[in-house]
Amino acid sequence: MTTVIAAANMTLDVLTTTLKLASITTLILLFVSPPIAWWLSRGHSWSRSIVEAVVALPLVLPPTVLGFYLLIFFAPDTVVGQTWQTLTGSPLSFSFSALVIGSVIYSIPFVVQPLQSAFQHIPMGTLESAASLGATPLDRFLSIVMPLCKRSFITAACLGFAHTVGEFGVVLMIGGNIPGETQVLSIALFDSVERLNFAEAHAVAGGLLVFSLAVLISLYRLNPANAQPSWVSR
Amino acid sequence: MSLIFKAHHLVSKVDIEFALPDQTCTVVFGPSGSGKTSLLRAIAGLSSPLAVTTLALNEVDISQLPPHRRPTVLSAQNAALFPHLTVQQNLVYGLNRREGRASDLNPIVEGLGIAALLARMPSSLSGGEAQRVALGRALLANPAWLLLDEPLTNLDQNARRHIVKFLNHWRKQNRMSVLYVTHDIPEALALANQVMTLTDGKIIKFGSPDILLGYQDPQQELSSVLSAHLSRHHKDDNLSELLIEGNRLLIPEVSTLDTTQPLYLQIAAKDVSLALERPERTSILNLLRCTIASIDTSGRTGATITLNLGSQQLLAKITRRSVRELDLRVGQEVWAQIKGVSLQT
Repeated sequence: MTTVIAAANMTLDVLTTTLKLASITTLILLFVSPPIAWWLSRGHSWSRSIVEAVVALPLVLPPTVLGFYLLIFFAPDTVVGQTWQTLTGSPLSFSFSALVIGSVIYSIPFVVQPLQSAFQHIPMGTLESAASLGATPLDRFLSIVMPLCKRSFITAACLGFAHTVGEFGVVLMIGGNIPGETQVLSIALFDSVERLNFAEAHAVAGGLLVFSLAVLISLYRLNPANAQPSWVSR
Repeated sequence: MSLIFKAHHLVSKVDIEFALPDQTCTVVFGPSGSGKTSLLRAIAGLSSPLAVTTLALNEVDISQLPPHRRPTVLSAQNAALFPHLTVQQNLVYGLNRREGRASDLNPIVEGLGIAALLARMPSSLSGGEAQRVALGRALLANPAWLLLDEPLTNLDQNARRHIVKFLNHWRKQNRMSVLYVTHDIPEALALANQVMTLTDGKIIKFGSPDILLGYQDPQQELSSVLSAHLSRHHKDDNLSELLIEGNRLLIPEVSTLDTTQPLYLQIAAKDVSLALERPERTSILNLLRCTIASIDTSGRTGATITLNLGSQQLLAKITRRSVRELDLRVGQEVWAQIKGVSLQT
């Protein structure tokens, strides 16, 4: 009985950590990505191409590569690691904060790209009208861009969240699989399989499968492929 | 002088400069690609091939201000309504952000005939309806200088005439200064205190609306503009008699009683036919005795005849065959029969 409760508690811990990580990551991404996406959507230049490539890097790079470099970067003897230690009093590597930073970097293309594509479709004339009618740049973003790209913001948030829930390599490299601190679902699944506990593995794997499918179905319901994007004017 | 503008065109390398008095309407005229839109955009602070060196309103330099801080509102030709907002929300967008007055909403909505559209979304509007809403939105923002880029192109003649009248009344009542881009001569004549004609980014003519007399826009149907004065009304026929260089001209009754103000007539060249002798027993009322100033037969089938009528010029478009058969020559006296006249009051 106690083992069942312990197992259940552990699973709950893993679930909480995972959801907390995905929520915080998504929230940070929703603040960080729009300015980057906006800048990328307004024209072409060398600097834009470089930033665009860096943002897209997590799409092609094995997550373990990213995790490896972050691990090195976050080590207590580096500038980042030391600064973090001085500021917070605890080491950065193998901490929840390190996971958040890693996840933000890992999931950023999934948030920036839908936003960038939506921003590119906003007609220049609409924004110029707003400016001429007295709207400041921030006002234009809030009163014109955000409502016109509402669906893309939801899509971006869902993709960012779901992708963070599903990450493995980065989390394994920089999180260290500490229960209640940095152990997330995808790693718990790996653990279960290694311990040959297939019942637990089935629960976690099935749960992730259903969750991912549900997110994708709701996204496609929200943005049917044949429907006109919401920003299309006359 | 209230608006002083100097700029250099980065592509065509020409300079442009002018000064416009406050509380007037200046009509900017010229063929497509002559730089009318670029000019308005430069004044509004939007990207433009014109590099502005001086832009001052009432001696205050505004050339460095971003668009939202300039005392100008530009309404573009394509209306550019906000697709996610209703017509009503579109209308008050500028009103709430600039020094607009909520009490203006009703008279403007009435004046532009858009009361029935307030709850609609822009995607459900016709081109003409969208243009009315865009004009209303710009008027409601109540700028010191209103910049209108071909705001009525999608409206029919009647609606256009009605709205031009309302705009004229509104800008005078609210002491608004207007810069108005159009291709339409009657529109220009009805609104303008002064007219500026552009070609290839250069100001060709600048002055009173008289400069449009004889104006030829290569992209529009060939027509001439003449200036006339009211002589008297023929009440029983609903006709008004005008005097044009001593010649009598009858047109559908005009509302004005002022015999001193010039009235501007636009006469399409294809509505003018020529006769060697004064035609008798014809249904055409308007016959003007003119002298042929030039004959241009370079067109494929047609010939353009420039006629001198006192100090003014009238254009006629006839076939080359007619030129040959009537044996028309420069200096010859002919009778011009006018089939149609459009007049803006």
